[in-house]
This record gives sequence, structure tokens and C-alpha cells, in this order.
Amino acid sequence: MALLEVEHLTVSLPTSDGWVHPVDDVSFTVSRGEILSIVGESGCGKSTTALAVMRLLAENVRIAGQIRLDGADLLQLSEAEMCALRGNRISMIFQEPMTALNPVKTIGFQIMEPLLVHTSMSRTEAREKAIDLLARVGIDQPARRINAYPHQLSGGQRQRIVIAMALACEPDLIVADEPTTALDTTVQRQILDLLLRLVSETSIALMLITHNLAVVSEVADRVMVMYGGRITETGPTSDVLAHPIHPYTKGLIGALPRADLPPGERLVPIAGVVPRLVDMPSGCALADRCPAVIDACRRARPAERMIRPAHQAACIRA
Amino acid sequence: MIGAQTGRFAKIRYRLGASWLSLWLGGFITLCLFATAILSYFWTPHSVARMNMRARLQAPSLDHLLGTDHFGRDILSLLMIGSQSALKIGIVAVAIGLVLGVLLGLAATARGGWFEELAMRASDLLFAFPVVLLAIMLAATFGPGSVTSMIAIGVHNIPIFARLTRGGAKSILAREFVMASRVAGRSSSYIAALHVLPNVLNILVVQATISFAIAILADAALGYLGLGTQPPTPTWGRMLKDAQSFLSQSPYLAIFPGLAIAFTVLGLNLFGDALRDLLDPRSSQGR
Amino acid sequence: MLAQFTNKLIGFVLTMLAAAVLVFVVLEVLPGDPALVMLGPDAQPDTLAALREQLGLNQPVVFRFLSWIAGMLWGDFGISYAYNVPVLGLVADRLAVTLPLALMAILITVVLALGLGVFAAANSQRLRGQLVMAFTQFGIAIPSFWFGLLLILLFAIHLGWFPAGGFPEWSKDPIASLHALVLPACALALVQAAILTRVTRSALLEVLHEDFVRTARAKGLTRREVLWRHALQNALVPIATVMGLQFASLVAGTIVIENVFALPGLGRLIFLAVEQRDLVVVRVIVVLLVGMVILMNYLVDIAYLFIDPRLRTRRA
Repeated sequence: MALLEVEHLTVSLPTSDGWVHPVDDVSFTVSRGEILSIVGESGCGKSTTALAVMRLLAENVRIAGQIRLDGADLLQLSEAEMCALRGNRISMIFQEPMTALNPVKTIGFQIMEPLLVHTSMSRTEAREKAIDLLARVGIDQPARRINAYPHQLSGGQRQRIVIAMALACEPDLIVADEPTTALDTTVQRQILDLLLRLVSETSIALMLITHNLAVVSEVADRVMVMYGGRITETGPTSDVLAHPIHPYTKGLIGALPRADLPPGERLVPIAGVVPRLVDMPSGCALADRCPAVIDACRRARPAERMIRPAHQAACIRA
Repeated sequence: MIGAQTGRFAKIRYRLGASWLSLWLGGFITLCLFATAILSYFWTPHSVARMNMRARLQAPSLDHLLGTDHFGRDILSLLMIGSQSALKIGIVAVAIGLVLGVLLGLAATARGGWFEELAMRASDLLFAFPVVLLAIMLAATFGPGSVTSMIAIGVHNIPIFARLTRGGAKSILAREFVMASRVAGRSSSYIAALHVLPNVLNILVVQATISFAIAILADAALGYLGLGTQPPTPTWGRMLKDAQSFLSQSPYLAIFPGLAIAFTVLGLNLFGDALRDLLDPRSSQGR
Repeated sequence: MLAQFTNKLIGFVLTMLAAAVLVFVVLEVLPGDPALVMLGPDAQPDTLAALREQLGLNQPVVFRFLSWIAGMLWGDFGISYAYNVPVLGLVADRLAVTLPLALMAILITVVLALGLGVFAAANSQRLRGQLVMAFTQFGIAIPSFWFGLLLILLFAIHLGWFPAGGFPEWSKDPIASLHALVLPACALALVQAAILTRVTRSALLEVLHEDFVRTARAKGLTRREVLWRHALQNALVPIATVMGLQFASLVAGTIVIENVFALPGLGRLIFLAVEQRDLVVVRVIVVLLVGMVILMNYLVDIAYLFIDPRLRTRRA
């Protein structure tokens, strides 16, 4: 049994034009020690999927389906039970290290907090552990830095703090939402290496959300491509990147910066823009942008089909 | 997040809906107040010029809807006439603060340098003087009265208007069209008057409404202390002072003038807050 | 941080000096002849001359100002004309009423406003949150002295739980003294709390949109824990600013409320001094009260440094 099993997850939110579905019937699994990467353009539903797993979406949002952690459905838990899980068994790393930390509390306070909330540790023990964690995520002079405030640290260091917070209670699952996007390229590299090292040292399952296929190719075991709130293609990373099936995946790969092109010249994956949630097509979500579209694409929503072993795609033309 | 965002839009729309309601409600109350004040110049249910000791301290009745005071005067009529001085003092006090404050704010931005620093420090200093203290100082030297009240409240209003004008002027002077007219050789005060005033008008109107409400509250307090408008002119604050002596016999004497003040202020505040929300939805949630 | 303290201290002293000049000008220079103001137009020439001599009015203005300031620094506040006793003693007695009253009012205000403000922010989308906001609208619109009258009407006249006014001395019965301050403090606190509740709520709502709030939730904190432990301190800068500004209206309110409840405090004293044209006393109390307001605002300035670590490193 996989650690996290998401089945038919649908997130609905009310607008003046009726209910829309930023995440629409999405199913996937993540096992211990595995890195699953969720990829797509912004607005494709990947961040919403992450927040749905954490159950941190706004109150007026409806979540349907099942999100099972070790077999127990998170959606059936009370808010109090969910609070006991968050930061303890599932934790989250955010995109913006500059704003993800509370500016008026020391980083020590913020790292110790999950320990004090979820374990029976005393303050002194929690402090010791926080210093260990700082050292583990590669902060120099951890015993001194523990009293620093976020504004005294660089962006990369702050992201390390956020990771230390996420690691504090030795969680089973970490949800990382674009953890390197806001950082410089060299720092990105370091943070990715850190995440990789942590996953291999422990048996943490990592759900890595990114729009950057280069990141995916380096770290992910499996990749899941999303578009318009739906899964378009899933499979082992090497297989998907080498033999993409879905036209959208092909587009994303085609847009990767390549050695033979001048740097900075990034191609648009596919012409056109992501449709707005309120006018999502009834058939394939990509229909209006797809180079290979036929009439049948617009008629019904394509089902996910196994094309190669462990490699699925939702395209009728595959 | 998507959820949070749509939530926020929904809230703005909801709040603007509520704002229209406050605007109408506040506007209506304010309008009633002005109508009452004007009406009282021509007609009141009873004359309040003469005392009628036989009818003193009566409870509300059909003849005297809100009862009578210790001189036998009709409370409703007194309240109606009281609205005259409340409005008069409010208007004059806001006018003093508005005119002097805007001039000070414009002059400070136009001249800049040490003058600006000094002007703003001075207006900060005025902030530290509560209205009642200003009125007390004036009353101690020049004697109490409506003029004391107007000047004290008016002077107290200067800093806020100066600050708002300067704040608005600063951001507008930095904009391109103003740069253009500066390059074209226009003088600072010309620019200030031509470009800044129309742009800060919104904020000033909103603040004037709120200051009007505060002025009425302050005048009531001064009237209660006997520092404001002197008898025989009836004022709401004075009526409350007189009512305190009869609190156990005739509690309604203390109820109605207070309600008159509270409703007036409530109406003006609702109107001002709604105006602010509608003119500038970004400046969000109340004060 | 030390440099910031000294800078602020210099600012405080200069502002105090400017305030003293302003008070002196209004009460000593503008009237022309303060002795005439104090004695009235019917005064005998020789009485006038005597008072001028006593007040030192024959000296040049600048000298008078400087000796007044110097005197106050040495604890010599002058002699009250109406009571013919040193002003210092008068003021000290009255402070024993005004200061506890103000402190009690601040305490009630802060507890009420933070509680209601956090509640209203936590329930901003629900009816109960909106109800709190509606109540604050009324709180702002009600004059504090009228609310004081209503409190007397209900709790003193009808229920008899509290005295309608007056103040037993602290030395005789401290409990009764404290008891006598409850209603006035509540009357003062209502308006202040209404305004501060609104500020607390909107400052919190602003903070609740910040990313770190979501981080805190992701750590497993409940909404309530996030509000009190993470959001409130971040919202505290605007709250403290407004509290500083409110202190001026609290001082003004004290003057009025002491008269409503016949409390022998500074407000009552200055009010009587105005009636008796005792300019010496008026002058001292005005400077004292304004000084308290200015001091409060500088304390708030310093409080910022403790609330927000980012301000500690910034140059003042």
C-alpha cells in the first residue's frame, strides 16, 4: 500500500458564475521514499492539489473524493485531528521563503513550535533538536543562528529554515510547493540537493510541485502532468521525458531551454493560454490549444489509459 | 490561492453592498438632521422662550412628546433648536480645520525643506492637545462660549487635514503630468492648487464628514462642561448637564439629548465610512 | 538600539519644550495682562499691581518663561491663586485619582478591544463578527459623558451597585476608592475600546492574508493559536500607534468624566481653576496632561522596537 493514496479528488469553489473545479477528478499515489513531481503551467491545479492534501484551502471550498494517508481518509478527519497531523506526519514547504516565515519571531521559536505542539518535548529538548535540525539543513553556527530573525537571513537560508520546520517532527510526507522557484539558480541547486539527500536518508515521501521540467528530470522518480485541473499524463520520469505521449507533455518538453538555443529564449509550451476555470471545455481541456485536435476531442473527456507499463495518459489520440 | 482570492472578491462585493446601505442610511440621518435644524428656525412644537413652571419635569405625553425640562420647556423643541448650534459649530470647526489644514499641507509640500519639517512637527504637536484642553485654555483666557468651542475644535482639526493634504500632494507631485508642468516652468503653488487639490478632494470630503461627527461629539462635551455655547441658547450638551440634577426623578431628560447626539454622530460616521469604501475600495475594513 | 533611544529622547524633550512654549503663549502672552484676566475688569489698581508683582509679570516675557520652566524642573510649580497653596501639592493629590482612573480605563480598553478585535477578525465572514462591528459603530457614536450618565442611571440609581459619584480617599478605604472608579473607567473605556476594536480587527485581517499565517497552519497550529501567537504581534504596530493617539482623547475624556462623577482629579481641578480664573493652576495642569500624551507617544515609539525586530536595525 502506498503511503498517500488520492482518489477522485475534486476541489470545487463557488463563484458568481456557479461552481468551478480547480482540481477535477484527480487520482494518484506516493510511496515512502519516493519523489512524485506534479508539473504544469500556473493555474493548472497543482498548488490547489497540494493545499487540498494539507486541507488548507479556504473555508468555502468543497473537497470531494478520498485522500488516504496510510489508509485513513484525511477528508473524514475533524479539524482538530487534522491539526494533529499537519506539521507532524505531513508537512509543507512553500514557494516564497521571503514571506513564509513570521518576521517578528526568532527562527528558533518557529522551528521549535511544531515540536512543542506535536511532541512532549520540553523547551530545552526542543531547542537542542532545533539546533540539530539547523545543522542538518546546512546552516552555519546553528547555536548562534537560532536566535536570529528571518530578515537577518538570505532567501536560500530562509528556505532551509522552512525545510527544517517541515522536517522537525520527522514527517512521513512532505508537500513542497515550488520550493526553488523564488531562488537564484545556484541556490536552487543547493536546496534541491538538500531535499534529495533528506529523502534518501529517511524514507520520506515527497510531493514536489513545480513548473520546471529541468527540476523534475533531476530529482523525481515519477512525474504527473496536470492541465486544467486534470491529470494528462503520469509515469516514471525517465519514460515520460523520453517518450511523452500527451501533446501537452510534448509541448512542455519542447519548451525546455536547450543547449542549441540561445539562453533565455524560452519557448511557450503550446500556443494559447490556459482556459479560465469558468469556461473549461466539456471535452479535453487542451482541445483549444492542441495541434492534434480532432472533433472527438471536444465531445467527451478523455479517460486515462495505460499506454506503456506504469505510464498513463489521457488522450484519445495516443 | 485561488480559493482565497475569489473569497476576497466576494467579500469586496459584499462590503460594497453593505457600503451602499450605510451610505443611504447615514445620508438619510444626516439629511433629517439638517432638515430639523432648518425647520426649527420657523417652527417648533412649543415655544421655548418662556418658562412654564407649572409644566416642569413632565414625562413624555401627547402634548409634550419627549416631556419637559425643569423650566417646563418642551424637550423636543429644545432638541430641535439644539441641532442648530450643533450643526453651526460642526460646520465652522470643520471649515477652520479644512481651510487652514489644506493651506498648511500645500504650503509644506510646495516649499519643502525646513519649512515642511517645521510645519509637520507643529501639526504633530497640536495632535498632543486634546480638544477639551484647547477649549479650557481658550476659556481660561477669553471666557467660555460658542466661539471658544468653534476655535478649539477647529484648531484641533488642522493637523489631520494638513497631514492628508501633504500625503496626497507628495504622491501626486511625483507623477509625470506634474513633472511636465514643473518643466514647463509653473510655480509650485500653481501646481499645488491645480493638480493636487482635485486629486485629494475625495480623501478630504471623507475626512470632513468624519471630523464633522467628531466635532459634534466634542462640542457636546464642551457644552456639558459649560465651556461651549452659553445659555439661554439650548445645546444638547448643556441639556445633559441640566438633566444630571434630575437623574433620579426624570431619567428621560438624560436619555433624549444623548440619543440625538448618538444618532447624529452615527449617521455621519456611517456616511463617511461608506463614502470612503466606495471612493477607495482598497482602503478596506473600517478604521 | 541605544542610538535610537537617545534620538527619541531628544525628540521627546524638544516636543515637550515646544508644548510648554505654546501653553505659555496662549495663557500668558495672548491675554495681554494675565492679572486682569484673573481678577476681572472690576479689580482695584493696587490689587492688580500686587498680583502682577506676585506673579512676576513685571519681568520680560522670555525671563518669565525660563523661570517658569526652571521652577517646574526644580519642583516649584507656583502658588495657586484661588487656593493660595503650592500647585505641586494640589496636583499631586489630584493625580492620585486621575492616574488610577486612566490606568483602569486603559486596562479595560485593551482587554476589551483585543478580545473583541480578535473575535471579530476570526469571525469576519460570520454574523457574530459583523455584530461586533455594528456594536463598535454605536460605541464610537456615543459621547462618553452620556454613557457615564446612563451607567449612573442603571448601576447607581436603579441597581445601587456603585456610587453615583464622589470619591473616598485612598487612605481611608482603598476598596471603596477603587469601587468608585469602576463606573467612570467603564464610561471612558467604551469609546476607546470601540475604536481600538475596529483597528485590531482590520490590522489582523490584513496580517491573516500573509504567507506566514499559512506556514503556521501547515505546522499544525489551530486557527486560534495562529491568531494569538503569530498574527497578533504582527498586527501590533498599527494597534500601538492608535493606542498612542487615543491617549490624547483618553486624557480629554478624563476631564469630562471626572466632572460627571464628581471625582476630585486633575480634570475636576482644572475645570474649577477655569471657573476661578486661576491661570497658574490651569497652566501647570495643561502642561502636565499634554506632557503625559507626548510621553505616551514616545513610549509607543519605543514599543515599536520591541514589537518588530526589523525596526531595531533600521536607522532612525
